[in-house]
Amino acid sequence: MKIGRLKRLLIVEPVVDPVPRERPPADAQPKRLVQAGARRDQRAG
Amino acid sequence: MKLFRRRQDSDAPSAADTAEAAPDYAEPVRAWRAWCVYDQPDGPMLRSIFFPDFWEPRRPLFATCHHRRVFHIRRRNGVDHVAPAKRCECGIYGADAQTASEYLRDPMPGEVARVFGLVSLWGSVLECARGWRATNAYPAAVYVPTTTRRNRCHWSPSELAALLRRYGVTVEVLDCSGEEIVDAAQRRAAAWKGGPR
Repeated sequence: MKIGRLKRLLIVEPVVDPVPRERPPADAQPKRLVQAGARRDQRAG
Repeated sequence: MKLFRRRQDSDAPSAADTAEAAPDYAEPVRAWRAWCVYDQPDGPMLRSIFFPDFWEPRRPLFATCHHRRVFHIRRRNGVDHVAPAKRCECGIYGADAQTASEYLRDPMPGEVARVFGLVSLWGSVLECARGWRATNAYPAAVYVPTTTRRNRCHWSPSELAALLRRYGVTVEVLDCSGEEIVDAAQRRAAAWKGGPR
C-alpha cells in the first residue's frame, strides 16, 4: 500500500480500549457473595 | 579498535517519542484499509494483504517488521527495530478510503474474499501524506462488498458478514458496484459515530 511520505510521529494512547472484550456469560455474572468455610465441628484440632 | 562507530538505530521511535512523551491523541486514529479473508478452522479470519499476519478476533494486532524476513537483509547492527520505524516501511497500514479501495481487487489463491473497512490505529503512529503506519491495530468496522469475486467461498456475503461479527465490531454488507463502494462505505461510516478521525 502506498501511503506517501512521512509527515510526523503521533503518540496515540486510547482512553477506551479499541478492542471489544467478550462479555462474561450470564452464568458467570455474580449474584451474591457467600462465605464458604468449614463448620466449627469440622475444623481440625 | 573499531573503525566504524556502531550505527544508532535512529529509525525506531526514541524513548522521548514514546514512553515519556505525552500522548497526542486519546482516541485511536481511524483509517481505511482492505483485508483478505481466509477460511480458518474456527471460521473466516481477516489477514493482511501483503504479509501473513492474521487479525485474531478480540485481540489487538501488534506490528513487527517483516522487512528483514522478506528481503533477507541482515541489519548491520544485528538489531531488529520497533515497528513502525521512520526509515523503514513497516507498521500496520491505514489509508484514505480511495487508496484502500484499490486493494479490493479479486482475491489471490488461498483467499476466499476481500473486504474493506475502518481500522483503529494506536501506539506509535507515523502520519504520512496519504495514510498512517502504526504499532497496534484492530478493525473498527468491516464492509463486505457483494460485487467482489470470491474464491471457492462457500459463504454468501451476508453469511460472511454474520461470521465476521465475532470480531465484535460493526460488519455490514455493501450491495453496490466497484466504483460506488468507497462512497457507500463512507456514507455508512459517517452515519456511525466511530467513523474516520
